[in-house]
Amino acid sequence: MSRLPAPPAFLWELFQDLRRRQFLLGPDDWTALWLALRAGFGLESRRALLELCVSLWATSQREAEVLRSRFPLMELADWDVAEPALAAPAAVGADAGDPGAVQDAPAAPPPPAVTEMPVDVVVGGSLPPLPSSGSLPGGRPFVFLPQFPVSEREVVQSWRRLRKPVRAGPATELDVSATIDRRTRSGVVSPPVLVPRRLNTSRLLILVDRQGSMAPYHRFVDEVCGAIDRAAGLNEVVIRYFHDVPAEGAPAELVRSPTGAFARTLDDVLPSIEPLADGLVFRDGACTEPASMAEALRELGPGGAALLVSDAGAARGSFDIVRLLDTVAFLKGLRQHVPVHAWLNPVPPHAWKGSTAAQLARHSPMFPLTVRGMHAAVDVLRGHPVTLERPA
Amino acid sequence: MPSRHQVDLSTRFTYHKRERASRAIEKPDLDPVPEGMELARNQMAKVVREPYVPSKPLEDAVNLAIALGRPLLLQGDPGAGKTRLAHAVAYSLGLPLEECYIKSTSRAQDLLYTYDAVSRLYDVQLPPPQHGAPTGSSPEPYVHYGGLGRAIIRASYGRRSVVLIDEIDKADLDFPNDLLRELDGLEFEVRELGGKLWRAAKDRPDLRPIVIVTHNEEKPLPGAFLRRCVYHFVEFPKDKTFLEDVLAAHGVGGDGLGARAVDVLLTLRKLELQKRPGLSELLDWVGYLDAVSTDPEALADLPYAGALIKNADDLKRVKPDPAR
Repeated sequence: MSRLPAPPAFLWELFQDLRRRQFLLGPDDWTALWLALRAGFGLESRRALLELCVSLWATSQREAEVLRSRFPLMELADWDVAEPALAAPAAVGADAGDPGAVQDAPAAPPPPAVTEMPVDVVVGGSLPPLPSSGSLPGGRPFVFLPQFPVSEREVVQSWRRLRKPVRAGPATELDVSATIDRRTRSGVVSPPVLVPRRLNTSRLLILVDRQGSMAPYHRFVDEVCGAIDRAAGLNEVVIRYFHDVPAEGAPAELVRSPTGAFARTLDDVLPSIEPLADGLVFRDGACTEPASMAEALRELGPGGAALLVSDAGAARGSFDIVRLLDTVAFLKGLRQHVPVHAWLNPVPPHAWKGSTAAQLARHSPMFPLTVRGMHAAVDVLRGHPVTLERPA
Repeated sequence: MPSRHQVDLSTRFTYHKRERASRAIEKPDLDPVPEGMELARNQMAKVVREPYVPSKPLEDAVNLAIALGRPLLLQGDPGAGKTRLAHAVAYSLGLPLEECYIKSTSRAQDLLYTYDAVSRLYDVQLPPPQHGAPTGSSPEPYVHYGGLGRAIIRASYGRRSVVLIDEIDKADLDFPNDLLRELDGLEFEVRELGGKLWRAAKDRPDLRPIVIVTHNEEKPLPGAFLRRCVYHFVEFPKDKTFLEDVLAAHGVGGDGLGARAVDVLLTLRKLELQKRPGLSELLDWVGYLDAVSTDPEALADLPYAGALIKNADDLKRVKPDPAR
C-alpha cells in the first residue's frame, strides 16, 4: 500500500486547517479520503473533490459551510500534477484527467490575487467596501461563522453527566431477577414483575447575568445555555435573566464601619448576613419581562440544581462590596430552596484578581466558562465535595 | 485488515429514468432469515419502483458510502426525501430494505435483536405437552432480530441488504454510540442463545450492508458516530427542470401543470415563510391538482393551499382573506 502516492499536499493543508477549526478528524478520516481518491471519487473536477471532502469530513451543515469557505483558499496548484498519478491505480488513464481539467477551466476561480486574500481580514478592523452582491468577484460567498470557546458538543458532553436516573412512568421493563425470585419463592405460576424505565430527573435553574459588562458574552452564553436546554437530556431547564445581582437589599450597614469606610471583605460579617429570599429576575434575555424568583423556583421544583452565569464584576475589574454582599445574601436565600449551586464565569480566572469575582470565588464554587470549568461545575452539582475558603 | 478499509466498487447506485416498474426482491421480513445464496420464489416479493430522482451529488455520496462501507448520514429539511432515498437505493440495487424507525424509547440493542422473556416465562408455565419437549425449553423462538441484526445475518449467508435507520436523533444521546461496534465489526452476539455469534465475512466488502441514517438535527449526534459516516445535506433543488423531472417521475403534473406548479412553489419559497413548502408538499399538491384536473392557469390563486402551506400566519400572507 505504501508504494501508492499520497494525496496532494494542499489536501493535507486543508485537513490540518480543519483540525485547527475543531473538526473531529483523525487518521481514519485521512485514510478514508485517500481510499476514496484511489477508488476514483472526486477526480473529475475541483467541485467533485470539494463535495468528496464535505461528504467525508463535515458532520453538519455548519461544518460543510466552513469547509466550503476554506477549500477555495487552498493552493490548488498541485492538484493537476497529482491527478494522473492518482488516477492511474484506479484504471483511469491520463487522458481522462485532462477533459476534467478542461471542463473545469471556465469555472476556475479568479486570478491568484483573489485566492490569496484572507477572508479573516474582513472580520476585524475597518471594513473594506464589499461588492454589492455580498460575495467575492469569483462568486464565492463570504461565510461568517461564530466560533465559541466551547463547542455545543463539549457543552452537552459536560452537562449530560448531570444525571439522576429514576424509574418513573408506566411499568414496561421486565425485572428478570425479581420475576425469578417471585416464582421460586411462591413455587406457583406468577405474573412477571415489570418496572418503569429509567428517566433522567435532573432539573436545572440557570440564572444568567445580562447587559453591562456581560454584553460581549451574550451570544456565547446564549449558545451554552441553549445547548444545555436542547441537548443535555435534563428533565427540566429553567432559564432566568438578571442584571448584576438577582436580588438587592441586604443591609449595607453590615459592611460599613461607623466612620463610613467600606470593608474589603465579608469575612467578619459572613455569619450575620441574612438570606435574601426573593429577587427580581426576567424571563427574556432583553430583561423586559419581569418574573419573581419564587415562581422560577416553583417551576424548578424540589431537588434541582442552580447554575449562575455571570462575570461578577471581573470583566471591568471593579470591586463592589455591596454587590458582593447582595450576591452572598442571595446565594444564602437560594440555598434554602436549591441544595447545590455552581457559578460559571465567562471571564478567565487571571482577570478575576482584585474584582468582586475574586472575593465571590472564596464564598461560592466559581469556575471559568471553559470545558474544564464546566466539568468542575457539573461535578459540584452532582454532589462532589468542594473546598471553599469561606463558604457562604 | 478490517473490512471497512477495503473499498468496494462492485456496486454502484445510478439513476435510470426508465427503470422497470417493479421487480422481485427478497422479502425483508422472513423469520428466520433464509440461508443460502439463492432464494426460492416464495421468498421473493414484488416491489414497486420508487419514483425518486437523486441529484448528482447525492448519487455520488451514496456511491462513496457504499465504496467505503460507511453509513450515509442524511440531513435536510423535513419532506426533502431523506427516507425515500433508502427505498430508491434498495429498489435500484435489488436488495431487501431493512427499516428501523427510531422512537424516543429505542435502544441500540433493539436494532440487533430483542429477547421476549415475558412470553417465554408464560410459555414455561404452561403444562407440558404429552409428546415432545415442554414449551419454552428452547430460547430460540423468543429471539427476534432487528433490522441491522437481520442485515448482518444475511451478510453472513452471502447476501447484501440496505438498512434504513430513520430519525436517529429521536433516541437517547447514547444510542448511536452503542451501535459503533456493530457497525464497525458487522458482528453481534446473542447473549440469550449462549453467546451465539453472527458475523459478516471480514474479507467481503461487497456484502457489507448499505446503511442509510436520517437525522433531523433535533439533538447533536456524538462525534465518534459522526466521524464514521459519510455526510450529505439534502438541499431543496433550485433547478426548475429537476423539479419537473421529480414530478414526472411520480407521474403527476402533465400538460404544463407541473411547470406552473413548480413556478408557484419556487416563488413561495422565496418569501420568508416560517415553514417553507418542500418536495413532499409539492408532490401532494400537484397530485391532488392532477386528480381533480385543475387548469394550470388557475394556479395563481393557490387552490388547495392547505397542502402546501402548513402554518396559519404563512397562509394569511400568501392568500389574504377575500372577505376582508
